[in-house]
Amino acid sequence: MVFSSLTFLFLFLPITLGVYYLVPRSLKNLVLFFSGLLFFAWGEPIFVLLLLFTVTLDYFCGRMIAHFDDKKPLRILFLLLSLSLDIGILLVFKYNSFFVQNINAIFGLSLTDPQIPLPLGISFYTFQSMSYTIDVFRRNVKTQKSYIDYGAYVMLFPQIVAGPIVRYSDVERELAERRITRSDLAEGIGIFLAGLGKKVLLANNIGALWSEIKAIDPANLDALTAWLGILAFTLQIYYDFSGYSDMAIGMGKMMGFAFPKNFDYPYESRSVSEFWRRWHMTLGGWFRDYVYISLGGNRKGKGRTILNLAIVWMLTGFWHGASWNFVLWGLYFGLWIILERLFLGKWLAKWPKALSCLWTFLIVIFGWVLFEAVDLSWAGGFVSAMFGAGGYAWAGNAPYYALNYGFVLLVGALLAGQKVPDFFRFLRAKYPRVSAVALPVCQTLLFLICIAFLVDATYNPFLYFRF
Amino acid sequence: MEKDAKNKKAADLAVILPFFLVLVLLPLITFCLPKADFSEDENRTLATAPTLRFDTWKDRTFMDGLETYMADHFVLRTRWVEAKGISQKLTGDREIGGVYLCKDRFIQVQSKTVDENLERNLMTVSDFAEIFSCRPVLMVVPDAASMLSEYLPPFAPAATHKEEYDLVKKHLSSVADLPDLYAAFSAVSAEERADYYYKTDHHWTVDGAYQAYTMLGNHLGFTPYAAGEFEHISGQNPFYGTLYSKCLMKSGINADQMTIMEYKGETDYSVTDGEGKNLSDSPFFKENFDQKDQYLVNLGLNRNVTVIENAAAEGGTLLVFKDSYANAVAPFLSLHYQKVILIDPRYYRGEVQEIAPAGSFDAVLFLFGSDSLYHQNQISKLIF
Repeated sequence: MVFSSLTFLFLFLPITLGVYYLVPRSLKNLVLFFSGLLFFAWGEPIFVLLLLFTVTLDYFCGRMIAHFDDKKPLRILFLLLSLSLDIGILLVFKYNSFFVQNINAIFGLSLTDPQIPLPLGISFYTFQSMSYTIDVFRRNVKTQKSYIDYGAYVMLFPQIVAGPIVRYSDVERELAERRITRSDLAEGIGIFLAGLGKKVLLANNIGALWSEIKAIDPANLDALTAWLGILAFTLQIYYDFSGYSDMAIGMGKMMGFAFPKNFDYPYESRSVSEFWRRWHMTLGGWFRDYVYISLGGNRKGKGRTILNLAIVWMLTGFWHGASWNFVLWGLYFGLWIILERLFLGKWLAKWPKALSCLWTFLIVIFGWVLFEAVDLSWAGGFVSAMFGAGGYAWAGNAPYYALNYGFVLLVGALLAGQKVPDFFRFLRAKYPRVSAVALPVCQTLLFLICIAFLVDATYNPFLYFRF
Repeated sequence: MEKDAKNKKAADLAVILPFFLVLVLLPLITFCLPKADFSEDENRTLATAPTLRFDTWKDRTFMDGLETYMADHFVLRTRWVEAKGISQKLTGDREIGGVYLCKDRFIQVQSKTVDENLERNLMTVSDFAEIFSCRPVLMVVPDAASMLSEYLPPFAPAATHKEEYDLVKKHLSSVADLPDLYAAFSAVSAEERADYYYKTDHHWTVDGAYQAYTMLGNHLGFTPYAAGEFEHISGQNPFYGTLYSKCLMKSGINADQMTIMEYKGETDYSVTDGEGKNLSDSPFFKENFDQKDQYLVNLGLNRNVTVIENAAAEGGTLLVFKDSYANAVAPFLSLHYQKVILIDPRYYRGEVQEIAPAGSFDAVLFLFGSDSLYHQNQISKLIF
């Protein structure tokens, strides 16, 4: 189920919240367990069994690791059991086509591509579940004895499909004991609606512009249109992803959970290293704590540090998608981070803020071309177009796009930085009584406009009567 | 401090209450309201409630069905669509729902696909000419976007379709007559051209159809009647056509008036379908003046085969391959032929010879809107 759909907003959410608020505290996790199961099963009716398998496996391994508290080999055994099956499932269901196609290419075989379908959210919930067994092993968290409580954690519907990647340690305490204050509820609603607006009004509309431009043969793209297009995508992916995260965090708050922040105005970063501390923060943190540090981090000399970074970034890229452009995308950032570690970081710190921001922003934009590359020759063609291979300005429809999409691009650009939100925060503090009225009015208006766009998306008139 | 706490409580409640009000009321009202069966604006039947069984769960038909059901019957559905259009318009967007929002009219956005359908369709026409040993007339009706570029929003890409029509001439000028409406329409003033197309519908008006009719006279060999020999009959209700339906916005754009030109002289009509069933005693189905889609006054609903017989006419049999644009021209043509057979390749799946064997007709006309010829593949599906 998609958050930005009428079914989720007006069927699943009111019913689930209603039941959740009404049941006594002792049953709330049960509600989370079943609502998460239902939410996942809505999108993946058969694969819900796979999800339950992962939940059961890691619950079992967690208990076994704790049970054999003084027998290290057995603890390692159950950790490896959990990790190998979790990662194994991920490799099979997400990367099966990738492996088969590449094996065929390298060894000249023609194995049939199994084309096993990809269960929605598997990359997110698998990482969440693995964080538990690793942290139990590391003795960072206490074992969860209740199967329902553990299941509720893995299957929490706000973030099972698109994150943030909430580690067990983040919510260990809240799973056992949480309170929903009126203030939390109001704040959660605000964050949720902001996220909905980001997704429905900004991301979806800006994305329409990118879809149009992406469809043009790069050989026919003029530089202005190419830049407009990739800037549109830059905004789209930010609002799409951060919007979804906001909705998840907002809903969590409405139910008494404080999920970690996932985005912190990433496009204001002054270096690539900083960018990855502000973009998809929970993923970066996961790879840092569970892979980078496990490999030794930066404590084994310069050479090993560089190797560790390369491995982590290759995996980060690969996590995003089962194809080579994503691996290259990860390595692309890995390269910049390594350079910044070696010497570039010190330079960037000395540059004026605007310059280092622009530098980083450009690196990120070119990264997005790679991220969006269906095939690598398209990426090459698109970058050439950006540098004027297809002519410079006014050749294509850039002025027309600017007219139709200008407003939403401007709003998107303004809200991507801290200045505008900070200004509103200042207003709120300075005029509390006006804000107390203006805020809900704006929020309700935002909600209603989002609903209008969602209803419109389902409106599909036919010119000729369809039998 | 107590006052602060009270204010905070009020401020929080001000956020919480409207949110839950919207969240709960909208679905409640949606499920309680009686459900409509058919959407006039969308031209389709609306979804019925899905049934929950293991198999409909497993293959997702239940979930998809429920999503469609909720969306189709959502309370005030069309008003939400209109609200979205208005908010887009307020931000400067001039392309809404696949339609250009011009100062006082809508213009359909042209299809952007590049495909081989045009070449396939043209080959079908030349095949026809060869198989039936005749020289057909092919008339392409230009779309409003290509003819009304003065009215498009600023910077809007205007496709004159010159490349496509040149291809038509290249492939067919040796085997068919090609009356050029692009040239004929371009020769008149912008104001006059604007009258050839509806403001809220993608079809052409009776004025545009009349121009085509007079041009066809030269190519098919009849003398067209002057405008004065017709009575202009208009519908009493405002006509909001297909383009309105795409965005449901009325702001600033006046409704069209559906007008037909009925011959004042003698006619003796019998209109039947492909199986000989009697449909009407006139090519004008005037009951449709009271329907939403008033363009259907011309020949009624689109059907695979329509036969207009006019005993008072002097010509023989005319075979017409058509889409809905020809519906406005057919009443004119039926004044000059005793029998006009209209075949719509979008719906006709039989062999042409079954309806119109070789030698049973005196002239052949292919009359299509530009989108059907350049981008659709129905013409190439005709079986001879």
